[in-house]
Amino acid sequence: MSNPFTQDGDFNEGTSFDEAGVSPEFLKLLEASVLEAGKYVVPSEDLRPHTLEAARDMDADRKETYSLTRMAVAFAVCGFLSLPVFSRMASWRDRVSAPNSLRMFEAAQKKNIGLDWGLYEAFSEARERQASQFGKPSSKNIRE
Amino acid sequence: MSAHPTFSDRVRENAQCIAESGAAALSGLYDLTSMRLVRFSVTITRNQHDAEDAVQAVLVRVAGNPKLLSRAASPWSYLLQMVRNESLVILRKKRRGATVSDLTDLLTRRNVDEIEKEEAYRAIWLAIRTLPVDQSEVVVLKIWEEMTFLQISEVLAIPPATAASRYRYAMQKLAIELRAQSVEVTHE
Repeated sequence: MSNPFTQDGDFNEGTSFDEAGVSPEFLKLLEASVLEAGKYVVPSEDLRPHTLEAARDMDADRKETYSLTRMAVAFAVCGFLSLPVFSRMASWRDRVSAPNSLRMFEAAQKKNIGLDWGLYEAFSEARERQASQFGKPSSKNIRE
Repeated sequence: MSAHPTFSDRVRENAQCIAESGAAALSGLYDLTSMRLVRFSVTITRNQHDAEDAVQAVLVRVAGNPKLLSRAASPWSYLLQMVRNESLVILRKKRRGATVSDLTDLLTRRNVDEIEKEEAYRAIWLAIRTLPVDQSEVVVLKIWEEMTFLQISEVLAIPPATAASRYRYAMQKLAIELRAQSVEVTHE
C-alpha cells in the first residue's frame, strides 16, 4: 500500500476505505453531500445583537475601569508631589498660628513677676514677634 | 498579501479593524465567521444554544483583545481553537451525554428550492451527531472548513496522522449510518 499521506499532510483519499466497503466514488459523493448539508444550520437571529451588545457593554466597562484607574493614579501622583509643600507649610505653622494658652502660661511663669504681669509681658512679646514676622505696614497703608 | 486574501487574512483584517475602532467593529468579524463557528461548535456541544453561548463568549473576548487574532500566525485556526476550547468547557459544565437522538435544538435554513433535500440534510446532521466528538470535529474541519490534515492537526493539537485516521473512521461510520438510513447521497 502506498503512503496514505501526501507531502502537505493531506490524506490520500480512497486508499483505506475499501475494507468498510466504501468506494472512492461513494466517498466523494458522501463528502459532497456533507459539504452541502453544512449550510443547513444557521445561527439564531438573536445571536448577532446579543453578541454585539455584550461586546459594547464589556468595552464600556473596560473604559470606565481604565478612567477610574487613571484618576486614582493622578490622585496618587498629586499627593506624592504635594508632600514637600505640606512639610514646608508645617514649618510656617508656628510662625503664623495664634499663641497657645499653655505656652503663654509657661512663658508668664518664667517671668517671675506674678501671673498677671507675666501674662501681660508674654502676650506683648508674642504680639511683637508676630508683628515682626508679618512685616511692618507700609507708610502708604498707614496714610490710608 | 496576495490579490485574493485567504479566509484567515480576512479574519486578521477584521481583528485589526476591531483593534483600531473598538468593539463597534465586531459586526464585521461576526458576519464573516459566526455561521462557521456555530456549526463547528454544534458538533462539539451537540446543542445549538450552547454552541451560540460559546461563540458569543469567544467573540466578546476577541473584541476585548483583538490582538489575540491579529498577531496569530493563522487567525482562523486560532479562532476555531478558541471556540473549541469554550465549547468543551460548556460541554463539561453541562455534563450532557454525547448521544443526541434528534435535531430539535437546531435552527435550520429552509430554502424553497431545497425542501426536497431537507430530509437528506437532517439525516447527515443526525449521522454526524452519532459520531464521537473527536471524529465529528475532524469531519467538520476537513469538509466544511476545507482544511488539510496538517491544519486540522494544529487546531486540534494532534498529529496529522491521527487527524487522518479519525477522518477515515468517521467517514466509514457516516457511510454505514447513512446507508442504514437509506439516504440518497447525491451531489449536484
